[in-house]
Amino acid sequence: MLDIRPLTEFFESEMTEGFLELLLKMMRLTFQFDEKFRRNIEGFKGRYLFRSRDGQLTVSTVFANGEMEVGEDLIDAPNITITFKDDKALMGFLLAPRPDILGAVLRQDVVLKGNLNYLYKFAYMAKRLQLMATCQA
Amino acid sequence: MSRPLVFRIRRFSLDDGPGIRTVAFFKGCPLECAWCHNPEGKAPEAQLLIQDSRCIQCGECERVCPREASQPCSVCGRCFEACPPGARSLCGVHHPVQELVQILLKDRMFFGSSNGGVTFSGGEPTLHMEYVADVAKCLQESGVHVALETCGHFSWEAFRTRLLPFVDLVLYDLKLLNSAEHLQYTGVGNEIILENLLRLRREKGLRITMRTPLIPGITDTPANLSNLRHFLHQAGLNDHRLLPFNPYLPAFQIQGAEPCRSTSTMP
Amino acid sequence: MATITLPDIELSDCNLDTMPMLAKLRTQVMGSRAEVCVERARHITTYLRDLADPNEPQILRYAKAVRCFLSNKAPRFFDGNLLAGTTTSKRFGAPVYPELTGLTIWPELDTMSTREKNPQKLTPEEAEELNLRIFPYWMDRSVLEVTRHRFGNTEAMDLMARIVFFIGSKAGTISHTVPWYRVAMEQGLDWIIAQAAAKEHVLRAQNRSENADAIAFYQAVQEALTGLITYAANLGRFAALLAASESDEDRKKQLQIMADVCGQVPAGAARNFREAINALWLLQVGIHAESINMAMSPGRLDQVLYPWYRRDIDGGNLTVKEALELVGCLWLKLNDNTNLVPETAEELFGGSGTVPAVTLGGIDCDGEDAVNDLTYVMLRATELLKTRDPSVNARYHRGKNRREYVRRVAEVVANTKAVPAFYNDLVAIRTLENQGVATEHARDYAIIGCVELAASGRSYDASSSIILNLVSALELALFGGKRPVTGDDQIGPATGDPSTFTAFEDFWRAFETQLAWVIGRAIELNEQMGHVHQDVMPTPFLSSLFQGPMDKGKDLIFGGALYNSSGATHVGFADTVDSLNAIEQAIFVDRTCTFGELLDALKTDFQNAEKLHAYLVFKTPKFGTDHPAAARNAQRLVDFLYATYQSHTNYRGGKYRPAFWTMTNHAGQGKLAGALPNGRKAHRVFASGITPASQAAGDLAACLHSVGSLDYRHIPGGVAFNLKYPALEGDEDLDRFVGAIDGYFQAGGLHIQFNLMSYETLIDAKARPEAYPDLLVRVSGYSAYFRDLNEAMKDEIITRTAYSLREGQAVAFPVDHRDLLPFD
Repeated sequence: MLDIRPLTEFFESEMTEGFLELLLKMMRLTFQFDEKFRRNIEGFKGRYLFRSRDGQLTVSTVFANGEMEVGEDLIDAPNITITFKDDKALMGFLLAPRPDILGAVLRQDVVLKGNLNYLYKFAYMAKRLQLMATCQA
Repeated sequence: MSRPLVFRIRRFSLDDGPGIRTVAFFKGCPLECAWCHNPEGKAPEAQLLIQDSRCIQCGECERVCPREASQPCSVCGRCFEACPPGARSLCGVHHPVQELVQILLKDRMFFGSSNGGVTFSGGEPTLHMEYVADVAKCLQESGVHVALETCGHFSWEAFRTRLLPFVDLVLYDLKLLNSAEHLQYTGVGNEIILENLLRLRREKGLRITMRTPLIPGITDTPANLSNLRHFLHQAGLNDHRLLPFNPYLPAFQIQGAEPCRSTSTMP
Repeated sequence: MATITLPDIELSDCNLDTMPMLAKLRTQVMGSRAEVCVERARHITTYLRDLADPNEPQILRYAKAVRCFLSNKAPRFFDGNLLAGTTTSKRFGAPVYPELTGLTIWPELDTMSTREKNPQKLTPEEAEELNLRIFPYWMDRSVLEVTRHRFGNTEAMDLMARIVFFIGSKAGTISHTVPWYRVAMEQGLDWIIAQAAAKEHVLRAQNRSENADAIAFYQAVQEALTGLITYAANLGRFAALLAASESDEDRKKQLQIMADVCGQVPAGAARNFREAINALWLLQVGIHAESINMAMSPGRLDQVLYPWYRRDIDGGNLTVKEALELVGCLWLKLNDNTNLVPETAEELFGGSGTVPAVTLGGIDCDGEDAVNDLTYVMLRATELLKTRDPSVNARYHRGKNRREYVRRVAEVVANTKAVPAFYNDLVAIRTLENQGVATEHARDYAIIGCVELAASGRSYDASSSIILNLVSALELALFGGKRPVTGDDQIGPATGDPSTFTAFEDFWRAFETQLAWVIGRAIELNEQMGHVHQDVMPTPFLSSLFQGPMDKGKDLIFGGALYNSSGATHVGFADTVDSLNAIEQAIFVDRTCTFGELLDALKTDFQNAEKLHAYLVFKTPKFGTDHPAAARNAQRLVDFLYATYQSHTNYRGGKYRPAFWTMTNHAGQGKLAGALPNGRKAHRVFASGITPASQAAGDLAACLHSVGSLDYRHIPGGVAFNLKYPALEGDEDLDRFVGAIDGYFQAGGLHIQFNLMSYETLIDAKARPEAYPDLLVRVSGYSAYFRDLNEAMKDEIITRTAYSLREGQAVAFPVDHRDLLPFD
């Protein structure tokens, strides 16, 4: 059984720094250990590019052959590019119980380019992970 | 008489005759009712209205005011124009006859289907007999129903020959039947008013609606109301309406030819 | 011309006490919670993914998918309603259309059942089915993504993604139309299928390759309609089964009748009123197998159903009360579904129903009074049930309709506090004629959804194609092609720094340049998505219920209807007009400030510019006050939009039609806009529809006159004019209420609708929603329960100017709540 305590603590704390790295890491681990969760990516092909607005951080995530790969380089032809102000903004955007969409637009927290359906799927998986980590699922 | 000034045009009014009406309120009144609901209509001259609730204390009015501190306000209008939130407004505008007619006809679309029309009110519109008659004539020629609100204190001959032909309905105010009381509370006795009323009721084809404002302790006494009822019944004037009392809370101060005065004149 | 035979047009003997069946159904409907229904998505996806023949034309594949769904659609009888058929498999269901925006709920599959605002229930099994089996198939196949794939990530696509310029609705819906149910009810679907088969046969015999599309269309019609016939047969069989085991004698009898009804319609001709009304309902269910449940409007039901009503009443086979019960059942059935709404969309669109608009009264095709007994029956149903849907609209022809009719409609408004809305026949008909609609067709117009005009069953109007924010163009002009909300990005053309402008015309030109640019992008995207709809989601079922497609052998989406158009509605009209007035007056007439000073004040939201702010709010011309400069700028904007849109022809060969109705967008978009020259502060709501800005037009007569005096021939898409009175009591008020409508229509007004409630009531309803569970309000076109609206929208309805009908003046806004006002 996967130890998801770090994620649990994370979700229950107020801190947000390093959110994306941790989320992707836990997601990848969970896919390896949790058969049910892995069904989400069976047969799924998707290329994601996450970038911080200041250009400091670039993270790519590629789903293929039932696996999830995380890298730190730019990738070709992402299905969607998610440019976010900071970890807090991204976390709020993906996981807030009541997303403040108008606020996010006003603050330009997150800018999306590409196929939003890929974001929706990713957000579902992230939310699922959050529910598992906080023992609600 | 100074030139006729209109201090308000109320569109879509209910309380001043049948249907949907536009009401032109004229400045100047021969009465000085203790409970006056339109104090800005009393003086015949132009005045300045100041709406304190809108004032933002910007001082613009003082900056543009040309008068010395000791001088009375001459209603030059500069502060009215300069006031950013429009807390100051001019009370009393003169319109050439045709201009007023056009303003009043703007709402014709509401008159026809509701059997409404135009009502002249005040102040006291009969203070401007010639002018009001000219406007009323134009309105009648355009097929608009014309009503007149009056306190009844006017010269009969001038009224009958000049204004009456162009009026379809008179809303006649009768406040107190006892002349001494009338004098006490309105500043004039009611002899002329009663005399004019008795003449008016003989006019054929004219509709008269009698109206009495219910002022607590003054006009709403059982004695006054019963006397009024009796008198009007005798005179065959059966359309009598009692107007409920609305405590008057002035939203503005009046400033003008006379020094500033308080408008809280409720007894 | 119909004569009125009802002894009492108010039908005062019929009420919820004397009709307990309706009372009970109403309570059940009002108490039901929304549930997501995956049935349609399941069957459509399964068919297209696993069963469809890839070599067949898409129209045929899609029709077969629709047939597959309808044939497998579960027959359900949730309550004691007398009509058979349900839109979804749930009592109050939100169907999923993954071809459109269904996938937006993906992130919420685990949480939407329990979310705070308007939850929509989903079982874990259904959530898993959507997540693993349905949604993955559509990731690259939804209309928006096919468009992106085919046309690239265009500037228009980016602009829409920013939310604050325009919404290209075709990503989520076309629907918004008024079908022609009459033929299907009079002849039956078997007859239409036979027609299609005959035409297919003739075309095949010609053996010409150019006939391929028409042949596929006629085949598709047969497939899709057969699906509904199968569904009705299943319903009938199930009703008979239920009847056999039903112990309640009344219900047993009703189930048996429904079994018989489904044995006859919609395959065969409706023989009586009950069959006709049930056929109509089944057709309404059927079109939703294909098109999303947004503003599919049944149209002039008092005309469509009247022949059966008259025949049955005259023949002694139906009583007025029975007819009223059946109409009530239809009204409640129209409330059996809702839109699938992700939480993120609640803030922009929350609280909306599906807005199937019903239109009553007016004149007939020959120009005679069309009001009949059924009109009054339907008004009574509306008055008694007070439900969000259907959105009921009353046509009023001042020359032909009788006074007692318009008074009766006014009474219903007085009793529901919100519906129906009123339409001016003279102006609506003239407006459609000006669009090239034949007079007899224009006279038969019906309302689509909120307020849009359709030549019933003859025009395909896609009336909600574009929702465009006028304030975005205004801000782009103020800031040289940028907007405060989008930061430093150069969005629109660089039209220069307004501080260098020497005349109002300079600014107007900059504004027009930006506006034309935004409109151009919106139209470009609409055209692209229109072509994608042609390929992805043709609508043979719907097409068979229109005049045109069956003759032309052409689906509606390819221009099969007699008339075609695309509607573009606009958000922020009054705020934009008032801002233009303010710029003209302050900078170029009074010279109160320079353009630079105004821009500085806007950037700081009027901090330290109190004097200028007061001047802008109180001393610059406002739309709705009869001020000539305001009237001129308002009409100029209307004319510019008309000329710009009408110069574009859509992918179906029709013109674009500008409109001014805003649903809840004016509240949401207001939250995203900076301070404006009219004194509206940053992030406050805009005024709704064509309505003057809240608290800006204090004189009722001037307000009615100003709005009524616009040239509505140049607003063919329709308008929503929202008026609020605190109360309507007694005959005198009713007379004045009617008088106001009469005057407004005489001035030339097209539409007017009301909320009869005071500031205090609405403020209290916001503070204590539990005390007002059923409070129905008109938003800006449709009706909603106040409790369902988002906070911004509640504030907008609260702050709308309330006029005293007795004084013709705005009622003073409660001092303690002035912070809600847009300019305070």
